Amino acid sequence: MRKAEGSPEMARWVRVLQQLFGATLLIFLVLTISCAKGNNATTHSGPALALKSLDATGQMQISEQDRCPVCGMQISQHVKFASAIQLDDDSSFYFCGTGCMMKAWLHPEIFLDRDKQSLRRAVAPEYFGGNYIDALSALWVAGSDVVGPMGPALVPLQDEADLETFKVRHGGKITFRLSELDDMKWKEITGKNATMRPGEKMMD
Amino acid sequence: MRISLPGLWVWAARDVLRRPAEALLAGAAMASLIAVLSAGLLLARGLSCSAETVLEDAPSLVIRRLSPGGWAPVPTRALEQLRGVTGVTRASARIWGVVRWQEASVTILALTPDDAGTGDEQLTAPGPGEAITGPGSGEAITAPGPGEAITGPGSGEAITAPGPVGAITGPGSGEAITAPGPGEAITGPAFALSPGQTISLHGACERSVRVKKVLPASWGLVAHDLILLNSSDARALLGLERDAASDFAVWVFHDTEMDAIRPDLEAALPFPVQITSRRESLGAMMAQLEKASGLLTTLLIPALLALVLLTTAMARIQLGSRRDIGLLKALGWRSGDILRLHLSRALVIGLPALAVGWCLAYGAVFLSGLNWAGALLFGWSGAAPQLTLDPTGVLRILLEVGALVLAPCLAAILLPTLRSATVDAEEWLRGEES
Repeated sequence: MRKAEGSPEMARWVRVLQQLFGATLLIFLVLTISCAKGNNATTHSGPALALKSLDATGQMQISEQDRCPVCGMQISQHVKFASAIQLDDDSSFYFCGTGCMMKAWLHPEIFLDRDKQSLRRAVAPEYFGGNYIDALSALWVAGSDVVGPMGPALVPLQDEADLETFKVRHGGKITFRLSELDDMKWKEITGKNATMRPGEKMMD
Repeated sequence: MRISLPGLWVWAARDVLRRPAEALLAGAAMASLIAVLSAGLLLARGLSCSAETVLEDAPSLVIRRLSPGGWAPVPTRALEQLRGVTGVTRASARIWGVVRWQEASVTILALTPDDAGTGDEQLTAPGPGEAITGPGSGEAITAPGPGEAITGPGSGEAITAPGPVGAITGPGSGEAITAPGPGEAITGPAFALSPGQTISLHGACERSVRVKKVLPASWGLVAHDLILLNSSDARALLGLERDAASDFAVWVFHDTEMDAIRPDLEAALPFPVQITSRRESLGAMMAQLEKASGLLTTLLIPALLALVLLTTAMARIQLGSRRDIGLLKALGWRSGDILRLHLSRALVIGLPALAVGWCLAYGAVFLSGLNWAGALLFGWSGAAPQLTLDPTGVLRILLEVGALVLAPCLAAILLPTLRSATVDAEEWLRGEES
């Protein structure tokens, strides 16, 4: 008696469960495909320029949409280390930190899809005051206790006096200028290859 | 026979009304539980949110001068020495302190911008994002403006908000308030004063000032119980010389400098100082909030026990309604209909209880002035500050508490019903399963 009444009922519940399962599976598949497409867009659609380029005084104009072309991080979350490279056509790339900016400066063809001749200048926020200074004229310190968005920071300083103070407060193993930077120097500073994207493992 | 959804709801409502006292008790119990749990969590959230808002733009460091008898006024000429320290992006001197008004202690703050004349040239009122810390290590915290604030010493009691030099702007409102002139005052909402009234303040001297404006309640924790004065009045009340201030506020660009720069700041000043960083102030305030929140958790224990009792009672009632279920099945109701009926019945009681509980909690924390909680947990006197409302955080708390209370109650109703609803009607009517 119970089975006679219960079976069709049970069958109906089973059908409902099957439909629910099917719908869940479909939603999961759609979401997975969308996410995969989104990731591809981030990785392979080429680096995006900053929404607003450096202004006439060399100040960054960071927008919420700006992403680091090297690591993909949101620039507005890391404004104190954010750096920029301006191109000959006045457009700019913004970077989450000085390290990403330097990698792009060394290998723009890899990270920016541009050749080196198209780079006009690089700017970075001077450590003590936050004023944007020309990265080529800055004194850079590596191996200090200062940590940036991507780990140990490469710190831009305005002059020798600042360098002296900085070393007393934060240490620092290597001092260099951007013009001296090449792949060998980069490897000496960071222990990694300058062509590696964040998260990549060394093959050597 | 398939029962329509509106029909089910009507049936459920009538079923509830068959036993109104029982339904009312269950609803009241749920509403009380939700109110108690939500109020506790909302209070903790509101306080921590407000504290973070108050402090997020506060000065990086506050420097106070130490003397054998406690703290001493700082000479404003020392500002130049501070500004010469590498890493200081901005430094200002501030005038503030505690005076008596109607047998109570109140905090006054000078809001006047740079006064012309010797000694005061370097003096500025706390600007946007500035703060003032009270005496003692990590005791007091600070002052945002358009996001500025000041907290009083010790208690984590929130005080006030000056703004850009010479004017203050309310949080969110964008309303700018000009600095008071000599003999004028701008008061926080806690004092319940109205413009035009005269108040007599007692400090190093007695001074009567006319209330020029009352800061709106929306300034909340930022400007709760502070009296903003002209610097000449504040100096007179605090007994400060013309070239002296209460403390220095210093800003640095990178937070890592807050600790690293201290030895250089100490070395730059010709007198012993105590330096408190924003991080330390925030830590002290959060520790106090956590201590108070810990007390709130004691409320949760009886509330959770009550929830267990309520759930058990509901499950018992549900198990007792097997005969009703058998009768409905005999009338042609299907198991699904019965399940939906009991779900509807639970929601007819539960949803209003949820709404009432949420409203009670919200009102108690955000509309009541919070006097009960402030007095109980923080020793606040007078009207309590209005807390910052973070819509996301509040919504999450309300949903969590709703789920925490409703889910077990619904389970207590549905699981026994599910068990009962799948059996054969004839057996029930014969009483074989009872």
